[in-house]
Amino acid sequence: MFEGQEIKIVFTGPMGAGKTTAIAAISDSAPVSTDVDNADRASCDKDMTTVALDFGQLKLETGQVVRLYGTPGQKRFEFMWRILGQGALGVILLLDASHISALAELDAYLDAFDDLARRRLLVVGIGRTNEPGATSVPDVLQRLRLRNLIIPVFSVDVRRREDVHLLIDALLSLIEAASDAEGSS
Amino acid sequence: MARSRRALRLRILHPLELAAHVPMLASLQRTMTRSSSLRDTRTYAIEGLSHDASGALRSIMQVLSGRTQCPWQLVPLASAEVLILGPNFDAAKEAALIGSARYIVRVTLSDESHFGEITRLEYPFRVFQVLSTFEEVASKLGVRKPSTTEAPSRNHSWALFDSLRDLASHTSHRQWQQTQYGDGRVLFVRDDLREFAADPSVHDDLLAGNLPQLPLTPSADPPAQLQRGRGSLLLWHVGLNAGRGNLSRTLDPSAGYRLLAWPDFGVTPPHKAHLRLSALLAGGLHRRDELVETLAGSADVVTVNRFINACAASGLMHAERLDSELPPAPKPKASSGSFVGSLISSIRSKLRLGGGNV
Repeated sequence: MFEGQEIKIVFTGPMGAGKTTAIAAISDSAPVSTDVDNADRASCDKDMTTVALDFGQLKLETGQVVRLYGTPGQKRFEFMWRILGQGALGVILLLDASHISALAELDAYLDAFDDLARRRLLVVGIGRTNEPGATSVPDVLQRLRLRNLIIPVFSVDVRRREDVHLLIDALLSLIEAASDAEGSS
Repeated sequence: MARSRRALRLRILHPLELAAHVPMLASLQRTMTRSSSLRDTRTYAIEGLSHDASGALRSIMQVLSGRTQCPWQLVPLASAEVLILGPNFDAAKEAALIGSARYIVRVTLSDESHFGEITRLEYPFRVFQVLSTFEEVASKLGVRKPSTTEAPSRNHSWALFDSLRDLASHTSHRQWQQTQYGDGRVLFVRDDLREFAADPSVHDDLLAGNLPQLPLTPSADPPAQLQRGRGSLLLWHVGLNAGRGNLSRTLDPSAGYRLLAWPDFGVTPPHKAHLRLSALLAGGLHRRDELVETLAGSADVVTVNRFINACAASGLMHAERLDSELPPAPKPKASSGSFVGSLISSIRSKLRLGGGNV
């Protein structure tokens, strides 16, 4: 499992969900971003957005390097989500609960990363759940149940480093459990 | 990854949180009510036996675990339904127990007769003798009329836990319940379990595990100035801290457990073993003892019991009674020595994560 491959963790989710922030919270160096002026203010009201990918890395004591990729948030770059997901250790999907289309966005990303989700190598972090009218964690769980998926869904604020650590730690636990199961089968 | 085992009984836990949020409420509640009657764990206490005899009996009971018609659990004398009393047990205390709602199994060394005894167990013990005694107890208790006194589980370790379970099993009327303790501290809980209200000091007690296990009673609406909290937070912490580390008597220690959904650890920060437990239980059925064995070194039986209690209180756990004659599930091979295990360990070390590395 993963031996000899590029070691990478993918951060994905719609525009404004916090992918760049999450990578910056744990990357050894400032992440390389391909941000441009946001021309899609209707979808997300922020000045800049990622059009190709974000890139950060963790250099481990063993000499191994874990690459952290952030996918572009816009749906027209969906082909890149799938490319980046290939061979990944796992995926961290960030959602903005205050988006009116949060559940539709969840569906789109679960479709794109279906293989990793089915193998339980995907963690969902959902932000701004306290905002009025926001999608709730039980709403997301209900959606996952319809897909017969039991994957972690956490209310998070990725501006807090410990919340990003929680997402990573949960993903590592999933990888560990998957690896153990492969070993025992 | 999920294991295939023949399920003898289904759905013995109640999905509280799911029931609170989905239109399946009525069906889920019916399932839960039915489940409660299906699995009626009996609580036993052993007293008045020599060290050797007590050890022998406990060993035999361990062997019989999961093989009796009714699941059982060893608990302290004060809260047990069935008392196995040896010759060293105080005769006056035993006389006082006669006529109580407790079922007494008397251990004798000879043919001597004891007052009021219902069932006798002879020492030295034999496995089949103990098994037949357990079956006799299960059979007799199965037709016994319910005690008119307080249910055995309603003690100081479980009262709030049980009250919350009761609320989950009844239709919500959007009304409030409350419990008071200490110097006028009051906890209000809405009967749909979506919300609670209390002073900040009560919130602190909840998070610190200092909320006493007292039953809820109906009340008026809480004062508007009280701080509101998510019901899921209350359910999790009450479940986690009830019973002083024992598994709830409403849960079967020999059952297989599986998560219906992960706890929201963004709201309730996890103990270092909780992520690992969740990952294992999301992947398939595991017995409590298997979890303890798999997590040896990072989680003991108390940690596992507390986690199962919390998940059960939160409606996140599914349980199945497993056929004990089937071979045990393949033990997960520890990944710690593998490429993946080493990689995970390095990432955790790099990020200083306390997660459930085994």
